Amino acid sequence: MITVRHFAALSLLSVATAAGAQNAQQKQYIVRLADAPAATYQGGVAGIAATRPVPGAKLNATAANTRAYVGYLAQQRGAAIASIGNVPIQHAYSYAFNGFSAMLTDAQAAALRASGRAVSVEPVERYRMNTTRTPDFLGLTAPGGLWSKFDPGARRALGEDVIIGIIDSGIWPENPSFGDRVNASGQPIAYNESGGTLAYGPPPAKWKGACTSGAGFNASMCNNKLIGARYYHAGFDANPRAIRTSFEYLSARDGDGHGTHTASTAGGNFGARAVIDGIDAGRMSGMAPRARLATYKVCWEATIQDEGGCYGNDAIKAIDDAVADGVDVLNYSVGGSQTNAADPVELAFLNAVAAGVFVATSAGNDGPGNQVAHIGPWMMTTAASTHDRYTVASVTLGNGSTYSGPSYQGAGLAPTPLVLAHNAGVKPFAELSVTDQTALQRCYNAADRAALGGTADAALDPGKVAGKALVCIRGGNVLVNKADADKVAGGAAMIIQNTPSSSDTLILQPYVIPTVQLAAASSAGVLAYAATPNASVTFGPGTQLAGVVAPVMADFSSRGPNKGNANILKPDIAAPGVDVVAAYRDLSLTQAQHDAVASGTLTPAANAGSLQGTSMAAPHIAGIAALLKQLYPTWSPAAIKSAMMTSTNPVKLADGGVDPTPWGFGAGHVNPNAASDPGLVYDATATDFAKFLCGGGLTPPAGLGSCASVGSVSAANLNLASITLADVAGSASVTRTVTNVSSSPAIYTASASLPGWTVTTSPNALSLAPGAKASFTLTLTRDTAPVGSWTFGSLAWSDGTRTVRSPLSARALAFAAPALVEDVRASGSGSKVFQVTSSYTGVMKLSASGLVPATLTQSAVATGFEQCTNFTVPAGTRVARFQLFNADTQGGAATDLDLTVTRGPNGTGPVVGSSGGTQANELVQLMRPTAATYSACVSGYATPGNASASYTLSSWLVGDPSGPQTLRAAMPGQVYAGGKASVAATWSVPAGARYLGDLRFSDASDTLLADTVLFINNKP
Amino acid sequence: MTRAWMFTTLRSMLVASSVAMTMAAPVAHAAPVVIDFDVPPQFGIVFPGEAYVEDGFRITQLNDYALIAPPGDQLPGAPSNNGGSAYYATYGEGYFALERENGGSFNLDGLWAGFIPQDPPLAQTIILAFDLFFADGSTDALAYNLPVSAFGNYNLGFEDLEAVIFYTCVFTGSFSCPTGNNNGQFAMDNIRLTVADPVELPEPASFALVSAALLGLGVSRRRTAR
Repeated sequence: MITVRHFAALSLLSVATAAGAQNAQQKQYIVRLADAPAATYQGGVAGIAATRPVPGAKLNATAANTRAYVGYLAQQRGAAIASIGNVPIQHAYSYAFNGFSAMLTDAQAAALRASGRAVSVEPVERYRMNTTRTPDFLGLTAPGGLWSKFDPGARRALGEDVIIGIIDSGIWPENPSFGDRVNASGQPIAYNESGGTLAYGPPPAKWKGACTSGAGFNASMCNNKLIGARYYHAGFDANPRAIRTSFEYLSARDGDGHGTHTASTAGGNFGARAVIDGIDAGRMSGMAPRARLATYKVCWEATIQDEGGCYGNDAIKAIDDAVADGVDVLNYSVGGSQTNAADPVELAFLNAVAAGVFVATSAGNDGPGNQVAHIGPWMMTTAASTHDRYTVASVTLGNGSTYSGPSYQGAGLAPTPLVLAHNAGVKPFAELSVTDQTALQRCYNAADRAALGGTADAALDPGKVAGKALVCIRGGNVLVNKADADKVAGGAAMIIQNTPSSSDTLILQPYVIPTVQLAAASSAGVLAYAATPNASVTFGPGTQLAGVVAPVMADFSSRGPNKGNANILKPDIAAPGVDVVAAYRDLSLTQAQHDAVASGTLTPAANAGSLQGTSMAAPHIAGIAALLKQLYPTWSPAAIKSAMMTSTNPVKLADGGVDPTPWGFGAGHVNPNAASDPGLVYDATATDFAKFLCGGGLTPPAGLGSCASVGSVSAANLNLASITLADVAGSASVTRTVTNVSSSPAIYTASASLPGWTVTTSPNALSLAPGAKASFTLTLTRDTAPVGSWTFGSLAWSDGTRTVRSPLSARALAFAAPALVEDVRASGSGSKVFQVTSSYTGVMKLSASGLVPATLTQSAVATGFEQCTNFTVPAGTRVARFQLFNADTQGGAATDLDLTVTRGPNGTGPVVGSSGGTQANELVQLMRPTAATYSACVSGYATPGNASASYTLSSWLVGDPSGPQTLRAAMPGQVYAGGKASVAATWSVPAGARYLGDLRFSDASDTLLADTVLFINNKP
Repeated sequence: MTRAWMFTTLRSMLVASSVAMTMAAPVAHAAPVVIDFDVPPQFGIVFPGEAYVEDGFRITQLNDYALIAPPGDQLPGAPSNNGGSAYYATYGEGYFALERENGGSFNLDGLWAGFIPQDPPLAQTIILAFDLFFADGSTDALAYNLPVSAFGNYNLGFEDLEAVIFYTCVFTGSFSCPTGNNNGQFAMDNIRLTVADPVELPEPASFALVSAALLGLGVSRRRTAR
């Protein structure tokens, strides 16, 4: 049965787009062209020598061959653009990525794909942006700490002449973190402060970058510390719904504060004043306080918050420029793909790594869920943990009840009238709408009400708040805005009360008025008392809490395992990301003052802020990488990453015990002092990462070689400092190669443990001359480890003084068989042999069912419409498969159809599978579906001319075998624990159709172990 | 045949050439036969107890299974240097027996064989082993190094045989037969035989001719009836 229903959401979207753009069919695309970018070009174009830098060297963007090659790429790019009618482009990429971004119709995108010029044409993704104490906490300042070490030039390891590029929301240059002069006391001063003496020489010769002027930012704001500033907005601007807020600056000046914060954390000057919203909070320093900084602004604040952020095509241009400019380290505290290591932005970072640039990224703030982003092994993906600065204050209510919670204020609060926000609005609470009630209870300021919901009726009444302490409940807006709303109404102090229905984390951060945050456990008592007449409260002064347990993972830090490839550990490492004080933008500016700053008539004040997020953790890693880069200029990005990963400290649980689950922190908590003398490193080249992509069925970027030329390596065997094995049936082995990076010969012995497994290393002792490499094999054999669960342990190589520790994680599998075996041929008979792995010794049963020819359903669909076909899936169905093919669709690859399968007729019921590719090739396969009526719904995302396009839906239902089958299969009668066995399948069917079969494996007691689906495409 | 036949002690370890040198001249009136497995109706899986038949010879799979893949199918790790024709690939810990359908004697002049490794492959040396059952009731067992993922051509020259069983061994200081852990996989092709007393048996090509003749008869009968 076929039903037609209108795809309402899509049509609304189309209307909205049509109103805002000339051509509703255009979308932003990132186009990757066939040639290598300059960072990885190894020669081959007549007359142009290779531009790829040798290890330890940088890309020379101004060299004659680089200029010639970039010119050649421009020609090729021009030809590709001309082939689709000379569309205007947003960005041209040449250094870390070869291609361009542009607004294209689907037909133009399809034409580029079909032309052979483009390797990939992918829609633009947009991501959101995801420090006084931390140098001490990390031990950098300790006697013998990393800052006291010397580089080969006898300079302290403070980041001298290392260039850190920050791809973020820009910079607030008035902060002394970014000045190149010091005052008479040796303390840094900002560009706009007079006097002082120059503390930095000119930028290092490798620097080829620029300082670009714009609104509120001119070249005089750059100096020998802040050596570069660029900004990118074509991708943002191409979204007609993305409008910059009135507080943004169309320049490298930070409209948010985030980029200023990350820049100063990575490489801000030592001893910069930290004044937080007017309150002196001491002095602060970046991790690499002598590094040079270059800012690349790609993140923008939008009037509609959800349309703002950081567009991938803008980010790639920033990476492209940063590599050409000569940065040594990049920090990217911005979201990224959680499933695709070959996303265009991630591939641009791979090319940057190929050019010797270390890349630190943030793991994401979607924790504690399994949402870790930036899964490519060439980047250092950083999780956020706590540090040990923690001051708490007592809260004594007028009724004598006493509580305590985190508080920055140091003076305490004398007895003060206390009022509940519910009772402090301009209108009585009962007269407010539900939305306004929420806004008032949570103390939204005007901006919060605009963004989150609420009218002026939800404002606090100064007559009820002035001079008093106010209780606001947690939720909705950011906590500092509650204090802002309170202060605007004249409030003297605030309690932020967590509730049973809010997050119950406790955050120590500064507020514009004295504030204590209280845990949910106290909410009933505090809220009830604050609602009584003549309530009052007293705060004690904030004092350092003794015995603070740190580092502990922040609950918001996104956790592993890696959803794109479970054999690669992500995140890689943890660093401080909670309550990090660093430079920030001036939040006090009025609109008029902002406009004056933008027009150059007002110089704003410096400011600092306490932020939290994995965004704050990543620049700690970027800065420490800069220190290592200074000490060891020839180390690869992978070697620097390994040094940090094998030298970590444990992460703790809140009770002080060791946190056993590396999905939070990867290798552990960064320990920079030990990282500076790692002993051994697990090194990897860009070619190794290309092999890894090939091993995962992905295509490496041009310049790193084709899969045919570089070969492949399985993810588990990529030479990383972590060892992660997702599916071990019985036993598995991995190989690694270590390099002795110390200056003396050393003998290392291995010790490894993983609960429930026998772990051996062969050899288990390595004798290594300085610079020498040695390989070893680590073998895991399952002992008592439970099937299907991860267990965690470690491998440590020790020479008696250094311990080179790798996290070791494995998940036992009862049985491993390929989920799918495909065969494409024109004839109707054939055979396949594949391997399965058993975790036990004994008999294994094999039952073959099929082959079932496709059931064909012909129909047609236009853009914005959907066609649903119902299928009755009987009990015992092994596989249900629904598939669309370009070849069976009118318009072929130029038609973009999507496929959704629901458990219910006519598109009703829960969605059980969907496929939304950019063409008409779509596939949904359900294993062991429950018996029900299902519907397969084909929607027209973009049909040529929006007209009805005919298609054929292929579907297959494979149940248990009944009677003779055209599929025959065999396997050995006996299987062995940890052993492989060959399975053969043969078939003979009429040619010219597509068939599905299933091979079901079960043990001697008929417990189902796995299904291997066999898809035979005799209609290629 | 039963498993009790299997694995007499490998008492002599001789290389192929020296064995061939010791052989007497072929018997008179000999008819050469080459089993090349290129019989499309028999392509597919040979389950334990099932047999493949060609040119009056029967190959019986005694353990695990074998696959005769259609030409052009690439089997992982299997040899492919036989010109792309079909061959007999036995998997797991498979072994099989070769004998004449009529129980008569034969000479085994040579064959092609190669090892099919698992992934990852065994590190040890792999041996192709023969249990030889002679018409006079005597037995012998011989072994040869086996190339990995490629066919080697063996000249043998064993005379007056009643049956031969083929299997592999792994050498780890001593011989372990058949190769365990489902690693005893090998391919065989172009088994060269001589039949001393050829028995008149229709060959597959002859069967086809007979069938065609019967079909032709059917057609002509219908014509007669009109």
